[in-house]
Formats: sequence, structure tokens, C-alpha cells
Amino acid sequence: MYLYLVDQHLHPGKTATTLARIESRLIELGINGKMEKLSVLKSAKELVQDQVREGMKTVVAIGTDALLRQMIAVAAPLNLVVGFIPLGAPIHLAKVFGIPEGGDACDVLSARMIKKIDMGKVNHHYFFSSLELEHPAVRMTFDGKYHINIQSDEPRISVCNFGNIFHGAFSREDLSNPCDGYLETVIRSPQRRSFFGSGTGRDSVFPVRKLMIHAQREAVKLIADHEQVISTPATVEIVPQKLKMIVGKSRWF
Amino acid sequence: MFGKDGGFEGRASGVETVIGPTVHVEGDFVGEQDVLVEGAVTGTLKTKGNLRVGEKAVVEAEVEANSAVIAGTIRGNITVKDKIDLQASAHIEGDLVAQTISVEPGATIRGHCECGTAAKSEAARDNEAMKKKKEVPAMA
Repeated sequence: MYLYLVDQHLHPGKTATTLARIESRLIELGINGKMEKLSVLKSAKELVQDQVREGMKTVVAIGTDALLRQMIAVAAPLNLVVGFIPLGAPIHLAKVFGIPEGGDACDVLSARMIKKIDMGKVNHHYFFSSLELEHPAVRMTFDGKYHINIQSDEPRISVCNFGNIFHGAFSREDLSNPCDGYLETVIRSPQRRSFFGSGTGRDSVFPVRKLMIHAQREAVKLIADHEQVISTPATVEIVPQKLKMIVGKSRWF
Repeated sequence: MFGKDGGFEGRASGVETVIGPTVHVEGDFVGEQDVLVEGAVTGTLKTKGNLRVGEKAVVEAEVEANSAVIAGTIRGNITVKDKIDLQASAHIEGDLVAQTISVEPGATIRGHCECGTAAKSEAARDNEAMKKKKEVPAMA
């Protein structure tokens, strides 16, 4: 049973025809289901939870990257399968998952090629792309075996599952492998400026399964998927194959 | 494998570790893939992959790897299954065990070196122990 959630921010004039075409195609393929448009009064979480009680197993986001991010956050803890019909803008994630835009995405849904993708978990919150640390005066312990000291002013620290995919455009080289059972802690050095010119030290990369983060002074904020804010102390771990996503053949992983 | 400009590159496969010049690792580092050290490591550094130690890196640890290319400083014993390559700026204070040891002019070593037969014997002993474990019948 399918639940289709339509992005409330889609421009009605520009997308009405495409939406009608999508609905027709879903009926032709025999994968039509309940279609709901999100609004201030209808949140994605409530709609999904209601339909799960009635046996719904697959939720499909029709809209932009922001809606897909929302669907993943709601669906993954409930072990639902997530689909995506890209419509509107931005839809950078469409090419990552190998899904064409608009009505053609219905055929990918119908093929139902499901890929199990890792997710990260920080305290009790799941994240999909990455966890960013603000003003990271922290002590980090990796897999309970070693810790690191960073001898740099204001380094930028990210814990990546998929990479920074929810913050504007990106290229294939920006991605981490989301199915390898590891998170990658990336420590980016700030650019050094001197009389002889500027330069960057090499970034550090640590693959890790479990990471403990403690603040050295005051509590530090961690930002998951550019949305959720969590404070230290934090336990960050990989949850292998947590998210079930319908993908296309031309996906990037 | 490693970005030309030193920047982070997403990888579709493999989980290599890069210890950059501003990072100091303390404790028991155990890896599965290749490791590049350009910073500092104290404690233990073990990997099943290949190890590369940059010119300005300082490693004060017991080191184990499949193969190694050393251009920096290591204070500790080094055990490598295949080949260890000491470049001109390498400085080793500890014992070396490897199948093959290559030393460029200028590299300094203060310790014992074992290569070829000794390393082969150690590998053969490991294989024998593994075979004996497999031959032990399962308990009913």
C-alpha cells in the first residue's frame, strides 16, 4: 500500500499538469495509493503514522529535496520503504538516487529496486547525510580505542554518512559511501595565509562505527542534516542498512 | 585514493584513513584499509592495508601494516608483511621486520632489521596456526 505526500511548497500553476500526469501513470502501473498534500494543518509525521496503522508500507515524497529529507527522518525509524518523485526545485538528490524528474519517476517506483542504506544515529536522533559540529572544542573517542587532539584554530568537523547533500549543489566526489557500514569523520583545516601565499593542510578522515563526543568547556551544538540541533555529550554511531530506498539504475552508489 | 590538493574526496568504495598535519592520534588505532599519516600518532598503529608516513609526521607507536612507505619519524618497532620502503628523510628508532626492506640514502635506522627468511618464517608460522585451528573437529 502506497502513501504519496505532495510538497506544500510546489507552485500550483507550474506543477498541476505534471501532477495530473503522475497520477495517471501511477494508475496505469497499478501502484496508485492515497495521495495527500501537506499543509500547516497536516504534518508528514501524523499522516504517515495514521497510514502505518492501516498497513501502509511505502511512503513516496512528491516534491523537492527538502520534502525527501523530511520523509527519510519520519520513515526510517518506522522501517518503511521510501520513494521519491522529484518535482520543483531544488532536486539535486534525484540524480544521486538515479531517479528521473516528474512522471518518468513512476517507472522507477514500479520497478521497486530497493537499496538498504546506512543511517547515522546521534543520541536518539537519526541522521542521513551528515552531522556538523559548531565551534568544536570537543574531545572525540573513536570506537572506544583512540582519541584525537586537533592542533588548529577553529577546525570544521563533520561526521558523514552520505556527505553534505542537504546544503546546495554537490558533485559525485563530495559523497561518501552510504552502504559501507562506516561513518567518516572529516576534519577540515582552515586555510592558512602567509607572506608566501595561502594554502590548506590536508583534511583528516577517520572511518568510525561509534564515536563519543564530549565538550571540553561549554556544551557544543551538533547539527544533524542541517536541521536538528543536539547538544553534547553525544554518542554517534552507524546504523547499517536502516533506510530502505527505492532507487534507479543510474544511482551514484 | 588521496586528493591531489589535500582536500577531502568522497569515495564510492574503500574507507582509507588520513591523519592530517594538525591532528594527533592517541591510543590504539586499528584499521582495515590504507592509512596516510601526516600528523602525529602515539600508542599503537595497526592496519591490514598499506601505510604511508609523510615527511613531517611523527609516530611514537608499535606499527603493523601490510606494506609501508616511510618518509617521517617512527619511534617504535615496525612489523610489515610485505615491503617497507624507507625514503631519504625517514628516521626510525626501533626494530624492523619485513619481507623486503628498501632504504634510500639519507634514511637513518637505530635498531635491528630482519627481512626475507625471518619474515617468511613468521608468516609461515601464522599460516600453520590458522590451518591447525580449522582442522580441530567441532564439539558435538
